[in-house]
Amino acid sequence: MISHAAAALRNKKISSVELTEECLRRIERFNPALNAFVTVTGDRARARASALDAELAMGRDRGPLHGIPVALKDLVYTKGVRTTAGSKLFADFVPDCDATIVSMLEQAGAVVVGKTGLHELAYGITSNNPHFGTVRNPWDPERIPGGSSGGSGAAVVAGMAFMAIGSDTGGSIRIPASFCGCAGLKPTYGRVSKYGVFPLGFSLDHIGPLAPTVRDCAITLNAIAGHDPRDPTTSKRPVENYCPEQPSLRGVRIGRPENCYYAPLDPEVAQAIENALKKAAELGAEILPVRVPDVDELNAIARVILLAEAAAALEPHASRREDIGSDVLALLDQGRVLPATAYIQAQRLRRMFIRDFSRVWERVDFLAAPTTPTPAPRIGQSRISIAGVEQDVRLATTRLVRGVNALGVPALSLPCGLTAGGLPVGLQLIGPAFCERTLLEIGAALEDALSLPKRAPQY
Amino acid sequence: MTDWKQIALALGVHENEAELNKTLEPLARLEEQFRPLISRLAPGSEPALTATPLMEDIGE
Repeated sequence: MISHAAAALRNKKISSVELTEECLRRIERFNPALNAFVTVTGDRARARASALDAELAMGRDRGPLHGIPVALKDLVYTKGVRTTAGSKLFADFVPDCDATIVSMLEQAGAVVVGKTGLHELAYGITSNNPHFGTVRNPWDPERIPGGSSGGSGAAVVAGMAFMAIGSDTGGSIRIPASFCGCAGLKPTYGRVSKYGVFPLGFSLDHIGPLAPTVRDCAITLNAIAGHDPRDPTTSKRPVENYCPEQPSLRGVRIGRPENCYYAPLDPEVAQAIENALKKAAELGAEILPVRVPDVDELNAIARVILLAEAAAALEPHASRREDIGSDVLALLDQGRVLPATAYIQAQRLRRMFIRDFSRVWERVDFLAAPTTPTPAPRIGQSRISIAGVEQDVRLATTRLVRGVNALGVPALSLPCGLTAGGLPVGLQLIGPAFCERTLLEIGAALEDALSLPKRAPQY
Repeated sequence: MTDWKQIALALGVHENEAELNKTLEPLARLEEQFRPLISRLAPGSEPALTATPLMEDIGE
Protein backbone atom coordinates (compact mmCIF):
# COMPACT_ATOMS: atom_id res chain seq x y z
CA MET A 1 0.00 0.00 0.00
CA ILE A 2 1.17 3.51 -0.77
CA SER A 3 0.95 4.77 2.82
CA HIS A 4 3.05 1.87 4.15
CA ALA A 5 5.66 2.31 1.43
CA ALA A 6 5.73 6.06 2.02
CA ALA A 7 6.34 5.53 5.74
CA ALA A 8 9.11 3.00 5.02
CA LEU A 9 10.76 5.48 2.64
CA ARG A 10 10.80 8.18 5.29
CA ASN A 11 12.06 5.77 7.97
CA LYS A 12 14.85 4.85 5.56
CA LYS A 13 13.82 1.20 5.74
CA ILE A 14 13.62 1.12 1.97
CA SER A 15 14.52 3.40 -0.92
CA SER A 16 12.56 4.38 -4.01
CA VAL A 17 15.16 2.54 -6.08
CA GLU A 18 14.48 -0.64 -4.10
CA LEU A 19 10.70 -0.24 -4.40
CA THR A 20 11.05 0.36 -8.12
CA GLU A 21 13.39 -2.61 -8.61
CA GLU A 22 10.91 -4.81 -6.76
CA CYS A 23 8.05 -3.70 -9.05
CA LEU A 24 10.24 -4.21 -12.13
CA ARG A 25 11.22 -7.69 -10.88
CA ARG A 26 7.56 -8.56 -10.43
CA ILE A 27 6.75 -7.26 -13.91
CA GLU A 28 9.56 -9.35 -15.37
CA ARG A 29 8.36 -12.42 -13.49
CA PHE A 30 4.60 -12.14 -13.90
CA ASN A 31 3.99 -10.13 -17.06
CA PRO A 32 4.68 -12.99 -19.47
CA ALA A 33 1.66 -14.79 -17.98
CA LEU A 34 -0.61 -11.81 -17.24
CA ASN A 35 0.26 -9.41 -20.09
CA ALA A 36 -0.65 -6.46 -17.86
CA PHE A 37 1.99 -4.16 -19.41
CA VAL A 38 2.38 -3.06 -23.01
CA THR A 39 5.55 -1.07 -22.32
CA VAL A 40 7.92 -1.18 -19.36
CA THR A 41 10.00 1.94 -18.72
CA GLY A 42 12.61 0.32 -16.50
CA ASP A 43 15.61 2.55 -17.20
CA ARG A 44 13.63 5.77 -16.91
CA ALA A 45 12.04 4.52 -13.70
CA ARG A 46 15.37 3.58 -12.14
CA ALA A 47 16.88 6.98 -12.96
CA ARG A 48 13.89 8.82 -11.62
CA ALA A 49 13.73 6.73 -8.43
CA SER A 50 17.39 7.46 -7.81
CA ALA A 51 16.83 11.20 -8.24
CA LEU A 52 13.84 11.09 -5.91
CA ASP A 53 15.85 9.22 -3.27
CA ALA A 54 18.46 11.98 -3.48
CA GLU A 55 15.77 14.62 -3.09
CA LEU A 56 14.34 12.95 -0.01
CA ALA A 57 17.81 12.62 1.49
CA MET A 58 18.27 16.36 1.01
CA GLY A 59 14.99 17.11 2.76
CA ARG A 60 12.75 17.74 -0.23
CA ASP A 61 9.60 15.71 0.40
CA ARG A 62 6.93 15.86 -2.32
CA GLY A 63 4.35 14.01 -0.22
CA PRO A 64 2.94 10.49 -0.02
CA LEU A 65 3.59 9.63 -3.68
CA HIS A 66 7.26 10.60 -3.45
CA GLY A 67 9.26 7.67 -4.80
CA ILE A 68 6.23 5.40 -5.30
CA PRO A 69 6.18 3.21 -8.43
CA VAL A 70 2.98 3.62 -10.45
CA ALA A 71 1.69 2.65 -13.89
CA LEU A 72 -0.38 4.39 -16.55
CA LYS A 73 -3.03 2.96 -18.84
CA ASP A 74 -1.51 3.00 -22.31
CA LEU A 75 -3.83 5.71 -23.59
CA VAL A 76 -2.24 8.36 -21.36
CA TYR A 77 0.28 10.45 -23.29
CA THR A 78 3.86 10.07 -22.09
CA LYS A 79 6.44 12.29 -23.72
CA GLY A 80 8.96 10.19 -25.62
CA VAL A 81 7.30 6.91 -24.65
CA ARG A 82 5.08 5.01 -27.09
CA THR A 83 1.37 5.37 -26.33
CA THR A 84 -0.74 2.89 -28.27
CA ALA A 85 -4.28 3.18 -26.90
CA GLY A 86 -4.19 -0.58 -27.37
CA SER A 87 -4.64 -0.03 -31.09
CA LYS A 88 -2.73 -0.91 -34.22
CA LEU A 89 -3.67 2.60 -35.40
CA PHE A 90 -1.31 4.07 -32.81
CA ALA A 91 1.17 1.21 -32.49
CA ASP A 92 4.10 3.55 -33.19
CA PHE A 93 2.74 6.78 -31.75
CA VAL A 94 5.21 8.59 -29.50
CA PRO A 95 3.71 11.74 -27.95
CA ASP A 96 5.73 14.92 -27.76
CA CYS A 97 4.08 15.95 -24.50
CA ASP A 98 2.85 14.44 -21.27
CA ALA A 99 -0.80 14.28 -20.29
CA THR A 100 -1.60 16.75 -17.52
CA ILE A 101 -2.09 13.91 -15.05
CA VAL A 102 1.39 12.57 -15.84
CA SER A 103 2.91 15.96 -15.07
CA MET A 104 0.88 16.13 -11.86
CA LEU A 105 1.86 12.62 -10.77
CA GLU A 106 5.51 13.35 -11.47
CA GLN A 107 5.28 16.64 -9.63
CA ALA A 108 3.97 14.60 -6.68
CA GLY A 109 7.01 12.33 -6.93
CA ALA A 110 5.53 9.21 -8.56
CA VAL A 111 7.82 6.89 -10.52
CA VAL A 112 6.22 5.56 -13.72
CA VAL A 113 7.28 1.95 -14.29
CA GLY A 114 5.28 1.40 -17.46
CA LYS A 115 2.13 1.52 -19.53
CA THR A 116 -0.64 -0.98 -18.94
CA GLY A 117 -2.66 -2.95 -21.45
CA LEU A 118 -6.25 -2.22 -22.27
CA HIS A 119 -9.15 -3.18 -24.46
CA GLU A 120 -8.50 -1.86 -27.95
CA LEU A 121 -9.11 1.92 -27.97
CA ALA A 122 -10.65 1.53 -24.48
CA TYR A 123 -13.82 0.43 -26.26
CA GLY A 124 -14.74 -2.78 -24.50
CA ILE A 125 -14.72 -4.63 -21.21
CA THR A 126 -12.63 -7.75 -21.75
CA SER A 127 -9.09 -6.45 -22.47
CA ASN A 128 -8.78 -9.27 -25.02
CA ASN A 129 -6.66 -7.19 -27.30
CA PRO A 130 -6.17 -8.48 -30.88
CA HIS A 131 -2.99 -6.43 -31.35
CA PHE A 132 -1.24 -6.60 -27.98
CA GLY A 133 -2.60 -9.86 -26.57
CA THR A 134 -5.03 -10.91 -23.90
CA VAL A 135 -4.66 -9.42 -20.44
CA ARG A 136 -5.33 -12.09 -17.80
CA ASN A 137 -6.87 -11.88 -14.36
CA PRO A 138 -4.34 -12.59 -11.57
CA TRP A 139 -7.04 -14.35 -9.53
CA ASP A 140 -7.62 -16.84 -12.36
CA PRO A 141 -5.62 -16.49 -15.57
CA GLU A 142 -8.41 -18.16 -17.54
CA ARG A 143 -10.66 -15.21 -16.74
CA ILE A 144 -10.77 -11.64 -17.99
CA PRO A 145 -9.50 -8.84 -15.74
CA GLY A 146 -12.32 -6.63 -17.00
CA GLY A 147 -11.80 -3.55 -19.05
CA SER A 148 -11.05 -1.41 -20.56
CA SER A 149 -8.41 -0.71 -17.88
CA GLY A 150 -7.68 -4.42 -17.49
CA GLY A 151 -3.91 -4.11 -17.37
CA SER A 152 -4.15 -1.49 -14.63
CA GLY A 153 -6.33 -3.75 -12.48
CA ALA A 154 -4.09 -6.77 -13.04
CA ALA A 155 -0.92 -4.74 -12.34
CA VAL A 156 -1.99 -3.51 -8.91
CA VAL A 157 -3.28 -6.85 -7.57
CA ALA A 158 -0.13 -8.59 -8.81
CA GLY A 159 2.07 -6.05 -7.00
CA MET A 160 3.61 -4.69 -10.20
CA ALA A 161 2.75 -1.11 -9.24
CA PHE A 162 1.31 0.58 -6.17
CA MET A 163 -1.32 2.35 -8.26
CA ALA A 164 -2.28 2.39 -11.91
CA ILE A 165 -4.20 5.09 -13.71
CA GLY A 166 -7.29 4.03 -15.65
CA SER A 167 -10.01 5.69 -17.66
CA ASP A 168 -13.75 5.10 -17.36
CA THR A 169 -16.23 5.86 -20.13
CA GLY A 170 -18.80 3.20 -19.33
CA GLY A 171 -17.31 1.48 -16.29
CA SER A 172 -13.72 0.93 -17.44
CA ILE A 173 -12.15 1.69 -14.04
CA ARG A 174 -14.81 0.08 -11.85
CA ILE A 175 -15.25 -3.13 -13.86
CA PRO A 176 -11.57 -4.17 -13.63
CA ALA A 177 -11.53 -3.06 -10.00
CA SER A 178 -14.45 -5.41 -9.38
CA PHE A 179 -13.05 -8.35 -11.34
CA CYS A 180 -9.48 -7.94 -10.06
CA GLY A 181 -10.32 -7.25 -6.42
CA CYS A 182 -8.92 -3.75 -5.97
CA ALA A 183 -10.29 -0.26 -5.37
CA GLY A 184 -11.13 1.93 -8.34
CA LEU A 185 -12.37 5.49 -8.35
CA LYS A 186 -14.22 7.26 -11.14
CA PRO A 187 -14.17 10.87 -9.97
CA THR A 188 -16.77 13.51 -10.81
CA TYR A 189 -16.70 14.64 -14.45
CA GLY A 190 -14.39 17.65 -14.51
CA ARG A 191 -12.49 16.80 -11.32
CA VAL A 192 -9.47 15.34 -13.15
CA SER A 193 -8.01 16.64 -16.39
CA LYS A 194 -8.35 14.55 -19.54
CA TYR A 195 -5.79 16.59 -21.46
CA GLY A 196 -3.39 14.22 -23.19
CA VAL A 197 -5.57 11.15 -22.81
CA PHE A 198 -6.94 9.50 -25.96
CA PRO A 199 -10.66 10.32 -26.05
CA LEU A 200 -13.39 7.74 -26.54
CA GLY A 201 -16.57 9.46 -25.39
CA PHE A 202 -15.82 13.17 -24.95
CA SER A 203 -18.62 13.81 -22.47
CA LEU A 204 -18.36 10.43 -20.75
CA ASP A 205 -14.60 9.94 -20.26
CA HIS A 206 -13.24 10.10 -16.73
CA ILE A 207 -9.69 9.53 -15.47
CA GLY A 208 -8.96 7.94 -12.11
CA PRO A 209 -6.89 5.47 -10.09
CA LEU A 210 -7.02 1.73 -9.50
CA ALA A 211 -5.10 0.69 -6.40
CA PRO A 212 -5.00 -1.96 -3.69
CA THR A 213 -6.85 0.28 -1.21
CA VAL A 214 -9.33 3.13 -1.10
CA ARG A 215 -6.72 5.22 0.73
CA ASP A 216 -4.32 4.71 -2.17
CA CYS A 217 -6.99 6.06 -4.49
CA ALA A 218 -7.42 9.06 -2.20
CA ILE A 219 -3.68 9.76 -2.16
CA THR A 220 -3.70 9.64 -5.95
CA LEU A 221 -6.72 11.89 -6.29
CA ASN A 222 -4.96 14.45 -4.09
CA ALA A 223 -2.21 14.53 -6.71
CA ILE A 224 -4.29 14.63 -9.90
CA ALA A 225 -7.44 16.61 -9.06
CA GLY A 226 -7.86 20.19 -10.12
CA HIS A 227 -8.58 22.66 -12.85
CA ASP A 228 -6.51 22.43 -16.01
CA PRO A 229 -6.56 25.38 -18.40
CA ARG A 230 -5.83 22.90 -21.22
CA ASP A 231 -9.00 20.92 -20.50
CA PRO A 232 -12.09 23.15 -20.71
CA THR A 233 -14.23 20.49 -19.05
CA THR A 234 -12.33 20.67 -15.77
CA SER A 235 -13.94 22.33 -12.78
CA LYS A 236 -12.59 25.39 -11.00
CA ARG A 237 -14.11 24.13 -7.77
CA PRO A 238 -11.36 24.02 -5.10
CA VAL A 239 -9.61 20.72 -4.53
CA GLU A 240 -10.04 19.17 -1.08
CA ASN A 241 -7.85 16.83 0.95
CA TYR A 242 -9.32 13.51 -0.11
CA CYS A 243 -7.35 11.31 2.29
CA PRO A 244 -9.69 9.81 4.89
CA GLU A 245 -8.72 11.15 8.29
CA GLN A 246 -11.31 9.51 10.51
CA PRO A 247 -13.16 7.02 8.34
CA SER A 248 -16.61 6.39 9.73
CA LEU A 249 -20.01 5.21 8.60
CA ARG A 250 -21.85 6.52 11.63
CA GLY A 251 -24.99 8.35 10.61
CA VAL A 252 -24.35 7.94 6.89
CA ARG A 253 -27.54 7.29 4.90
CA ILE A 254 -26.82 4.62 2.31
CA GLY A 255 -29.53 4.01 -0.26
CA ARG A 256 -30.18 0.46 -1.45
CA PRO A 257 -32.07 0.91 -4.74
CA GLU A 258 -35.22 -1.19 -4.68
CA ASN A 259 -36.13 -0.89 -8.37
CA CYS A 260 -32.74 -1.23 -10.06
CA TYR A 261 -29.26 -2.67 -9.61
CA TYR A 262 -30.13 -5.73 -7.51
CA ALA A 263 -31.65 -8.06 -10.11
CA PRO A 264 -30.67 -10.17 -11.83
CA LEU A 265 -27.48 -10.89 -9.92
CA ASP A 266 -25.23 -13.88 -9.55
CA PRO A 267 -26.29 -15.33 -6.15
CA GLU A 268 -22.77 -15.14 -4.74
CA VAL A 269 -22.47 -11.49 -5.77
CA ALA A 270 -25.84 -10.77 -4.16
CA GLN A 271 -24.72 -12.46 -0.94
CA ALA A 272 -21.42 -10.57 -0.78
CA ILE A 273 -23.21 -7.24 -1.30
CA GLU A 274 -25.77 -8.01 1.41
CA ASN A 275 -22.95 -8.97 3.79
CA ALA A 276 -21.21 -5.66 3.08
CA LEU A 277 -24.39 -3.69 3.69
CA LYS A 278 -24.93 -5.58 6.95
CA LYS A 279 -21.40 -4.66 7.97
CA ALA A 280 -22.04 -1.02 7.06
CA ALA A 281 -25.16 -1.07 9.24
CA GLU A 282 -23.18 -2.56 12.14
CA LEU A 283 -20.78 0.34 11.77
CA GLY A 284 -23.59 2.85 12.17
CA ALA A 285 -24.80 3.47 8.61
CA GLU A 286 -28.49 3.71 7.94
CA ILE A 287 -29.44 1.44 5.03
CA LEU A 288 -32.52 2.85 3.34
CA PRO A 289 -34.57 1.44 0.48
CA VAL A 290 -34.79 4.04 -2.24
CA ARG A 291 -36.28 4.33 -5.71
CA VAL A 292 -33.96 5.68 -8.39
CA PRO A 293 -34.53 6.72 -12.02
CA ASP A 294 -34.56 3.69 -14.31
CA VAL A 295 -30.95 2.70 -14.83
CA ASP A 296 -31.66 0.60 -17.93
CA GLU A 297 -33.16 3.68 -19.58
CA LEU A 298 -30.16 5.72 -18.51
CA ASN A 299 -27.90 3.05 -20.00
CA ALA A 300 -29.69 3.32 -23.34
CA ILE A 301 -29.10 7.08 -23.30
CA ALA A 302 -25.43 6.62 -22.39
CA ARG A 303 -24.98 4.04 -25.15
CA VAL A 304 -26.38 6.38 -27.81
CA ILE A 305 -24.06 9.16 -26.63
CA LEU A 306 -21.03 6.88 -26.57
CA LEU A 307 -21.71 5.34 -29.98
CA ALA A 308 -21.88 8.79 -31.54
CA GLU A 309 -18.96 10.34 -29.65
CA ALA A 310 -16.65 7.36 -30.23
CA ALA A 311 -17.48 7.30 -33.93
CA ALA A 312 -16.64 11.01 -34.10
CA ALA A 313 -13.44 10.65 -32.08
CA LEU A 314 -12.15 7.88 -34.33
CA GLU A 315 -13.55 9.12 -37.63
CA PRO A 316 -10.11 10.26 -38.90
CA HIS A 317 -9.02 6.61 -38.74
CA ALA A 318 -12.24 5.03 -39.97
CA SER A 319 -10.76 4.12 -43.33
CA ARG A 320 -8.20 1.79 -41.73
CA ARG A 321 -10.81 -0.87 -41.12
CA GLU A 322 -8.34 -3.73 -41.41
CA ASP A 323 -6.39 -2.32 -38.47
CA ILE A 324 -9.35 -2.34 -36.09
CA GLY A 325 -10.60 -5.43 -34.22
CA SER A 326 -14.02 -6.77 -35.17
CA ASP A 327 -15.82 -5.94 -31.90
CA VAL A 328 -14.60 -2.34 -31.88
CA LEU A 329 -15.26 -1.93 -35.60
CA ALA A 330 -18.86 -3.04 -35.12
CA LEU A 331 -19.38 -0.39 -32.44
CA LEU A 332 -17.77 2.29 -34.60
CA ASP A 333 -20.02 1.33 -37.51
CA GLN A 334 -23.07 1.50 -35.26
CA GLY A 335 -22.02 4.99 -34.22
CA ARG A 336 -21.53 6.08 -37.82
CA VAL A 337 -25.09 5.25 -38.81
CA LEU A 338 -26.76 6.90 -35.83
CA PRO A 339 -28.45 10.15 -36.88
CA ALA A 340 -27.39 13.43 -35.26
CA THR A 341 -30.92 13.79 -33.90
CA ALA A 342 -30.47 10.64 -31.79
CA TYR A 343 -27.36 12.13 -30.21
CA ILE A 344 -29.09 15.42 -29.43
CA GLN A 345 -32.15 13.68 -27.99
CA ALA A 346 -29.86 11.55 -25.86
CA GLN A 347 -28.14 14.66 -24.50
CA ARG A 348 -31.54 16.22 -23.73
CA LEU A 349 -32.64 13.04 -21.93
CA ARG A 350 -29.34 12.98 -20.11
CA ARG A 351 -30.03 16.40 -18.60
CA MET A 352 -33.47 15.19 -17.52
CA PHE A 353 -31.94 12.15 -15.81
CA ILE A 354 -29.27 14.28 -14.10
CA ARG A 355 -32.04 16.40 -12.61
CA ASP A 356 -34.12 13.38 -11.59
CA PHE A 357 -31.13 11.65 -10.08
CA SER A 358 -30.14 14.74 -8.09
CA ARG A 359 -33.36 14.29 -6.10
CA VAL A 360 -32.08 10.94 -4.84
CA TRP A 361 -29.42 12.83 -2.87
CA GLU A 362 -32.12 14.58 -0.86
CA ARG A 363 -33.04 11.22 0.65
CA VAL A 364 -29.70 9.45 0.95
CA ASP A 365 -26.03 10.40 1.03
CA PHE A 366 -24.82 7.56 -1.18
CA LEU A 367 -26.12 4.63 -3.15
CA ALA A 368 -24.69 1.14 -2.72
CA ALA A 369 -24.93 -1.42 -5.47
CA PRO A 370 -22.92 -4.22 -7.00
CA THR A 371 -20.30 -3.01 -9.44
CA THR A 372 -20.81 -5.98 -11.73
CA PRO A 373 -23.63 -8.53 -11.60
CA THR A 374 -21.17 -11.43 -11.84
CA PRO A 375 -17.58 -12.22 -10.96
CA ALA A 376 -15.05 -12.20 -13.81
CA PRO A 377 -16.23 -14.20 -16.85
CA ARG A 378 -13.95 -16.61 -18.65
CA ILE A 379 -11.74 -15.36 -21.50
CA GLY A 380 -13.64 -15.72 -24.76
CA GLN A 381 -17.02 -16.04 -23.07
CA SER A 382 -19.59 -13.94 -24.95
CA ARG A 383 -22.79 -15.02 -23.16
CA ILE A 384 -23.36 -15.41 -19.45
CA SER A 385 -26.21 -16.83 -17.43
CA ILE A 386 -27.26 -14.63 -14.53
CA ALA A 387 -29.91 -16.11 -12.26
CA GLY A 388 -31.06 -18.28 -15.14
CA VAL A 389 -31.16 -15.47 -17.71
CA GLU A 390 -28.76 -15.65 -20.70
CA GLN A 391 -27.15 -12.28 -21.40
CA ASP A 392 -24.49 -10.71 -23.57
CA VAL A 393 -21.33 -10.42 -21.43
CA ARG A 394 -20.56 -6.81 -22.45
CA LEU A 395 -24.05 -5.50 -21.81
CA ALA A 396 -24.40 -7.43 -18.55
CA THR A 397 -21.02 -6.28 -17.27
CA THR A 398 -21.68 -2.61 -18.01
CA ARG A 399 -25.32 -2.62 -16.85
CA LEU A 400 -24.65 -1.36 -13.32
CA VAL A 401 -21.85 1.08 -14.11
CA ARG A 402 -22.53 2.74 -17.46
CA GLY A 403 -25.29 5.12 -16.37
CA VAL A 404 -23.09 6.79 -13.79
CA ASN A 405 -20.87 8.11 -16.59
CA ALA A 406 -23.83 9.92 -18.12
CA LEU A 407 -24.62 11.48 -14.74
CA GLY A 408 -21.04 12.60 -14.22
CA VAL A 409 -21.18 11.78 -10.51
CA PRO A 410 -18.37 9.99 -8.68
CA ALA A 411 -18.39 6.25 -8.01
CA LEU A 412 -16.03 4.03 -6.11
CA SER A 413 -15.67 0.28 -6.46
CA LEU A 414 -14.14 -1.66 -3.60
CA PRO A 415 -13.81 -5.36 -2.93
CA CYS A 416 -16.55 -6.68 -0.64
CA GLY A 417 -16.09 -10.44 -0.73
CA LEU A 418 -14.94 -13.52 -2.55
CA THR A 419 -16.96 -16.24 -4.22
CA ALA A 420 -16.58 -19.87 -3.18
CA GLY A 421 -14.35 -20.23 -6.24
CA GLY A 422 -12.10 -17.44 -4.95
CA LEU A 423 -13.10 -14.62 -7.29
CA PRO A 424 -13.47 -11.03 -6.07
CA VAL A 425 -16.81 -9.25 -5.82
CA GLY A 426 -16.99 -5.46 -6.09
CA LEU A 427 -19.28 -3.08 -4.25
CA GLN A 428 -20.04 0.23 -5.94
CA LEU A 429 -20.68 3.37 -3.90
CA ILE A 430 -22.16 6.27 -5.85
CA GLY A 431 -22.56 9.81 -4.55
CA PRO A 432 -23.49 13.32 -5.64
CA ALA A 433 -21.11 15.43 -7.71
CA PHE A 434 -17.85 16.45 -6.03
CA CYS A 435 -18.48 14.30 -2.92
CA GLU A 436 -15.19 12.42 -3.33
CA ARG A 437 -13.91 13.30 0.16
CA THR A 438 -16.82 11.66 1.97
CA LEU A 439 -17.15 8.91 -0.63
CA LEU A 440 -13.54 7.89 -0.01
CA GLU A 441 -14.03 8.21 3.74
CA ILE A 442 -16.95 5.79 3.91
CA GLY A 443 -15.21 3.54 1.40
CA ALA A 444 -12.14 3.40 3.64
CA ALA A 445 -14.27 2.67 6.72
CA LEU A 446 -15.98 -0.21 4.97
CA GLU A 447 -12.72 -1.49 3.53
CA ASP A 448 -11.16 -1.56 7.00
CA ALA A 449 -14.13 -3.50 8.37
CA LEU A 450 -14.25 -6.02 5.53
CA SER A 451 -10.50 -6.69 5.71
CA LEU A 452 -10.09 -8.47 2.38
CA PRO A 453 -6.82 -9.45 0.64
CA LYS A 454 -5.05 -6.60 -1.13
CA ARG A 455 -3.37 -8.84 -3.67
CA ALA A 456 -4.35 -11.89 -5.65
CA PRO A 457 -3.12 -15.21 -4.21
CA GLN A 458 0.39 -16.20 -5.35
CA TYR A 459 1.32 -12.57 -5.93
CA MET B 1 -38.30 1.48 -36.85
CA THR B 2 -35.26 2.75 -38.69
CA ASP B 3 -33.85 0.79 -41.61
CA TRP B 4 -30.30 0.79 -40.33
CA LYS B 5 -29.08 -1.34 -43.18
CA GLN B 6 -30.11 1.20 -45.79
CA ILE B 7 -28.37 3.97 -43.87
CA ALA B 8 -25.24 1.85 -43.50
CA LEU B 9 -25.17 1.06 -47.20
CA ALA B 10 -25.74 4.70 -48.11
CA LEU B 11 -22.85 5.73 -45.86
CA GLY B 12 -20.60 3.15 -47.44
CA VAL B 13 -20.23 0.89 -44.45
CA HIS B 14 -19.22 -2.06 -46.59
CA GLU B 15 -19.47 -5.48 -45.06
CA ASN B 16 -20.97 -8.60 -46.40
CA GLU B 17 -24.66 -8.87 -45.64
CA ALA B 18 -24.28 -11.31 -42.77
CA GLU B 19 -21.61 -9.13 -41.13
CA LEU B 20 -23.68 -6.01 -41.62
CA ASN B 21 -26.75 -7.62 -40.07
CA LYS B 22 -24.69 -8.75 -37.10
CA THR B 23 -23.17 -5.27 -36.71
CA LEU B 24 -26.49 -3.47 -36.87
CA GLU B 25 -28.66 -5.87 -34.90
CA PRO B 26 -27.80 -4.28 -31.52
CA LEU B 27 -28.92 -0.89 -32.89
CA ALA B 28 -32.43 -2.18 -33.49
CA ARG B 29 -32.64 -3.36 -29.87
CA LEU B 30 -31.17 -0.11 -28.62
CA GLU B 31 -33.71 1.86 -30.63
CA GLU B 32 -36.54 -0.11 -29.03
CA GLN B 33 -35.30 1.03 -25.63
CA PHE B 34 -34.35 4.55 -26.59
CA ARG B 35 -37.12 5.82 -28.86
CA PRO B 36 -39.94 5.68 -26.27
CA LEU B 37 -37.90 7.91 -23.96
CA ILE B 38 -37.93 10.78 -26.44
CA SER B 39 -41.66 11.28 -25.93
CA ARG B 40 -40.93 12.30 -22.34
CA LEU B 41 -38.92 15.33 -23.39
CA ALA B 42 -40.59 18.67 -22.80
CA PRO B 43 -40.35 21.09 -25.76
CA GLY B 44 -37.90 23.31 -23.89
CA SER B 45 -35.61 20.50 -22.74
CA GLU B 46 -32.06 21.53 -23.46
CA PRO B 47 -29.26 19.09 -24.17
CA ALA B 48 -26.62 18.54 -21.53
CA LEU B 49 -23.56 20.53 -22.51
CA THR B 50 -20.00 19.57 -21.88
CA ALA B 51 -18.17 22.86 -22.23
CA THR B 52 -18.43 23.04 -18.44
CA PRO B 53 -18.70 20.22 -15.92
CA LEU B 54 -22.16 18.73 -16.09
CA MET B 55 -23.41 19.51 -12.61
CA GLU B 56 -22.18 23.10 -12.72
CA ASP B 57 -23.64 23.46 -16.17
CA ILE B 58 -27.16 23.03 -14.84
CA GLY B 59 -26.51 24.90 -11.60
CA GLU B 60 -26.86 21.92 -9.27
